Amino acid sequence: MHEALCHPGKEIIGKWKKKQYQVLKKLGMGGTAEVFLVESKLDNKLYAMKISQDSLSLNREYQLLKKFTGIAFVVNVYEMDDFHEKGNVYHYLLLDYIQGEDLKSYTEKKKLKMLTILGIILILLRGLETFHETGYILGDLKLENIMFDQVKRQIKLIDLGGVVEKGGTVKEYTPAYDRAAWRCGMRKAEESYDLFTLTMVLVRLILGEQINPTRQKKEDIIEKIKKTNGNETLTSLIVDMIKSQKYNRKQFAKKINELYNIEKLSLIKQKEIKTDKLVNKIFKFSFVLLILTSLLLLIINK
Amino acid sequence: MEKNNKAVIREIILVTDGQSNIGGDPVEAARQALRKNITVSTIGIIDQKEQQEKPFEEVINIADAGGGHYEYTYIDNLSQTIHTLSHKTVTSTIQDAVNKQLKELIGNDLNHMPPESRSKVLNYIDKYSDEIPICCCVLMDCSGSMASKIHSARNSILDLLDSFQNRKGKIDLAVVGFPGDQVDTCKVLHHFNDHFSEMERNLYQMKPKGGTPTATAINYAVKLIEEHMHRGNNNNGIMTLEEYVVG
Repeated sequence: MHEALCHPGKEIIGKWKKKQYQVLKKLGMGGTAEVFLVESKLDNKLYAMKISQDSLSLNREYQLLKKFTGIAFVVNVYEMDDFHEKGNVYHYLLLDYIQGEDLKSYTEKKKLKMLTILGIILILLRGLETFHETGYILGDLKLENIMFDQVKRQIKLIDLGGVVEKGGTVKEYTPAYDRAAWRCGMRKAEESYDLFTLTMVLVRLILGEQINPTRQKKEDIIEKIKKTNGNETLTSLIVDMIKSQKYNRKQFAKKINELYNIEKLSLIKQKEIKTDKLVNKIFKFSFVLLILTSLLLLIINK
Repeated sequence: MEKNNKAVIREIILVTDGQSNIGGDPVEAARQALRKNITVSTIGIIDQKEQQEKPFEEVINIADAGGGHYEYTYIDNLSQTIHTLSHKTVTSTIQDAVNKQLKELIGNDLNHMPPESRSKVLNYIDKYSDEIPICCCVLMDCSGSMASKIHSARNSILDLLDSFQNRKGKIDLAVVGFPGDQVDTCKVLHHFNDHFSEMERNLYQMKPKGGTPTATAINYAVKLIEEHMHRGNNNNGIMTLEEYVVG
């Protein structure tokens, strides 16, 4: 809808706060909104501007972003305003521009190491804690909404459109990560709903391919995980979490943390073995060199 | 809060994969529905193979006349589309009612309020949309062309039920398939009074065959909703949403 509306170079002036922005390029779209890279005329800084005609969902997101502002895990919001164009009212949020890539496009190019995957899950679990402890559910967690900030070297959540109060209904979801779509439970705003979506994020990262509840069953996914992933402890943890979300957030985090440490340790060991080999080679090489030199000396002396 | 029980969202969600080809004019039927405070929203199912040769205008026209929203989707995404659409219909119906009231009271609608005060109203609408009772009739196209999609369609309705059951407000859901056993008829698959636990079994009565009598189906759904509302509210009459919002 904004194709003609927000071409690069277009100027946007907020109706209420009168701040001016220039559109530089389109960053992406999702649901009812589109996101553009804009430059503020006031401070010449770059921002991401999320534009939508759906004032209700944009307002909800604004309230939540403000509530969770200051948490490193969540993108900062600066203002909410409107502009008119051809008789329509558009609402927008001004957000931090994050230089980087979302996890979905990143993983499409590169397969992540197990250590990185477990690290990401740990960070996400930490992020969930903040939401859960203030009485909210993240809801629509997915790779597309997780950004790698390449400048600050952080993971950022860029969309809070799915956040709902505990006890309510999950309003926005993505089938690939949705508990009800996989027939593993209700679409209810409770902590275990988030733990399920997080487990599916983990599955998606390990498999490195799309998952789709309309074509696959949870049994197919479990089968695939068993084949792809050699780590039995991790596999059985995933199976438990898919089937019944057996563990709560703290237990889940503890288990992932243990797996992370084991993985790290084994990587260090691998490196040590490699260094051992290298030392060995250098030693052998120097030994041969020594003999050769002595031989040479002997010959010369003769 | 007693009033809460009386204001009810009445909506029809029409799911179809083609044009109406039997019976009356579905756009006119949708217009009649809206006159009775029942919104008609539509979902057009696009064939995955044929690259949307032309968007079916009828789907847009019915939703326009019925005061609802429309959406196109592949059968694989039907679950999510029904979910989003039903939620959108509820919030926008409340929003429209609020706007109507604001226009009468202050001569302006929500979009003319500064963001801070608007936020407060929107927060209220958001909360209320989860609490207001809903009376929803899903009209499922069961014509011959749906044969390969009927399984997914059934799952989508079960999925919608999952979402609805987690709402705070009461939910009455009926599912009507069209055509019915005769050419220009439709068939109640799940009645408002049936228990939700029977839904899955009821939906197995969906037998795709025949043409697409859309107008007949809409008229029938209107009748079904009106009867149901009448029964539920006895002689008290139904309070319109506008009355609730201003009160």
